[in-house]
Amino acid sequence: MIETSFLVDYLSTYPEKIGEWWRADKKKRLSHFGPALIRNALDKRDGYTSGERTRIYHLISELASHASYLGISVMTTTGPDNMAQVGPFFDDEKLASWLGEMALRLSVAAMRMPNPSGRDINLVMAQAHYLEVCQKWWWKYRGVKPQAVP
Amino acid sequence: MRFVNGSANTATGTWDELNRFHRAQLRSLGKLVDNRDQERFFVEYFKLIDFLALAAVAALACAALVRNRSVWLFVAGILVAIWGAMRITGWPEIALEPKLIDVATDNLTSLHKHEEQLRARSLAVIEADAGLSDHWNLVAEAMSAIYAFSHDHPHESEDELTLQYLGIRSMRLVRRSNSHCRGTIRRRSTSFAT
Repeated sequence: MIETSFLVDYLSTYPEKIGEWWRADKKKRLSHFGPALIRNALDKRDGYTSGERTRIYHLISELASHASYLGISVMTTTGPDNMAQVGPFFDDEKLASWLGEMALRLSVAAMRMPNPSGRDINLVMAQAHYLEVCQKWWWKYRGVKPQAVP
Repeated sequence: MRFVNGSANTATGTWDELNRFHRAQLRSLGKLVDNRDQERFFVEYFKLIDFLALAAVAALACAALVRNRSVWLFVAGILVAIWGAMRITGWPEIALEPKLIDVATDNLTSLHKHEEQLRARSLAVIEADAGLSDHWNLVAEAMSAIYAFSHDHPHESEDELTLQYLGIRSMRLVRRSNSHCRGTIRRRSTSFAT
């Protein structure tokens, strides 16, 4: 999710790269549009120098995507005894973390979906409504207007 | 799907490779199926012979009773017939020991029920908390916005179509990105008809 949202953010920022991206073979895609390159380009665009995008990307990858001992011990355990669970389970802290992170990442990706010509009135209205909801949330929980988050 | 040039060739090549792989898998599976059919035929064949033998034993027992007035031979014959019938039909093992495949599919069903219970519990927690409700509402609104762009909006260029694909991918990722709240997402997204 986070990788896709970074890519959407990147391609929306640099629309001239979209054609190059979808025409690229695997070798070119990895060398020109690899996750690290995308993150660095977005950091450069936003003036971030701490590599925060990379830190978050690696953290989420380690916890959720990759088969790591840390990920297993954090994501499959719950309760006061921190017992590993077989199958799905309820954990209010994990639910809150997931939901907060999802709102943060998805809200930006959705905001980057373009409507360049503005001819599609339904899309304009949908995007205007979304922007309003999104701005309220960002002001309330992030204290800023919607922006690219590292 | 687009895939008309550039990545089209790559994509087509990849699909061809995958198809070749799966065809090979199916071919080897086909041999297995054939072998199983043969095995099934022999099992049924011998079962039929066993039934005929049992019928003969029962007939002999009846004949022993009628001709020689030998009750014990009759009883012994009937007992042998009952025992043989039980062995052939598998009873009572079928009733006492459920088949492994039934147990496995039952587990899938109970897993689904458990997910539904977790979904209800997650929803209750989200609804009871103002902050979580706000987050949840934003996720839902974001999905609606992505859907409006990816599904409802007629694309005006190849580049826009590319971003629509990424929007579709985002929708799918949201749905599968979690386990404890998956039910909620799935239920929500069913309204996004394709």
